[in-house]
Amino acid sequence: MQQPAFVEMAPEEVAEGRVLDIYNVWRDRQGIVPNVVKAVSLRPDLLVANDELRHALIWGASGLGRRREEMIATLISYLVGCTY
Amino acid sequence: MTGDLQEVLDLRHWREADFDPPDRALLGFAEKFTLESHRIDARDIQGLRDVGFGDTDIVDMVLCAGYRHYITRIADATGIEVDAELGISDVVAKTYTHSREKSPLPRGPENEGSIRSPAEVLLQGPWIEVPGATDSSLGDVFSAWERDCGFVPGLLRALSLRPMAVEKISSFWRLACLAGSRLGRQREAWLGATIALMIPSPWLLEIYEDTFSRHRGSPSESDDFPDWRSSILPNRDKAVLQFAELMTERASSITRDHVDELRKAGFSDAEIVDVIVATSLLNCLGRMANALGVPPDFAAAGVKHRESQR
Repeated sequence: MQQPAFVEMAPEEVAEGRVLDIYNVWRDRQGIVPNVVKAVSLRPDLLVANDELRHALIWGASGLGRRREEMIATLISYLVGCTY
Repeated sequence: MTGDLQEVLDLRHWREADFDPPDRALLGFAEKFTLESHRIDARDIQGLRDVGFGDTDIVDMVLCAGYRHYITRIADATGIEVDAELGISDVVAKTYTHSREKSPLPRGPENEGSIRSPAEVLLQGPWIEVPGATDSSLGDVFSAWERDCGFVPGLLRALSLRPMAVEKISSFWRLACLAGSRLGRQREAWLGATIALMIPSPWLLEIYEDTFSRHRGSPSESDDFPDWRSSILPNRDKAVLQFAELMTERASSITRDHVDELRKAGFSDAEIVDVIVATSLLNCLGRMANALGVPPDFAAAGVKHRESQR
């Protein structure tokens, strides 16, 4: 069973505006809204900025290609000990 | 993931694995970015060029690596778990589950003097191509910085080969932890300087020292800045800085108890999110500046304090 996060997350049902748009894109893409997207949901403005940052920096935004982006991501996650 | 499970597993021991020279150079750079970004120098950048990467590729690597230092801290500090619905290979999960006792990332420099007096070579940076003012499509972004803050951060100029990234980083930075975020100027300054000293990042330290000097609180507080432990800061603020240090050094060791300390200090969960996001972003920015050789903005220009032109 999953443990609750250390900080509260706003329920998906109360999402509106730009946040709701972001959630809908995730549901369409993966069937759920990942925890890492909802992690800062108590601050909708930061959630939106977070999403815009992601799309500007990775996920094909770079010229490295998805494989090399993921290599960087995986190695760094391993080195800093981030299981997520 | 890469779609190749063996390649994923090989990343743990990439030096012994069968990666081609460009991939090895990329992984070596990402590793150094993580473990000792302050020791990246022009030779590391040239090493990437030698295996065929252009300056835009190098900026992309820095952005990708910087983003990972941001998002991993968000994940660890908020305590979110892997989404059960998405599933994860059991092999990968077992391989990449780390003990919370893993040693902290190495610190440097050896003495504070080196961060306060960046080597002459750093003042000659950045080490990658930066589009000239007339080439940049970032005129409005940079004008806003000049108007509101009196300067354009060198990191944003250094990332100019990726204008969209600069736009988003610029707006996110100001929203989360600079020039009037919800944290407040004083807390921005203490947080930024604390993280800058830990990374260490001369560029980041100078920006937040400048913030502090222009928005300082009580006169006696300035004698201790940025040494928060011996300062007269309220315990509430010290709790934030202690948490930020842990996030910077080893976010994966954060537990619910650490977050509860912030609640005991009187912070709401929304305010805790502000701290987590700011700290994560500053860890990203400081390391990116190191990796690109961005010199401190004011030292490089020979100007110690810039006045806001508001």
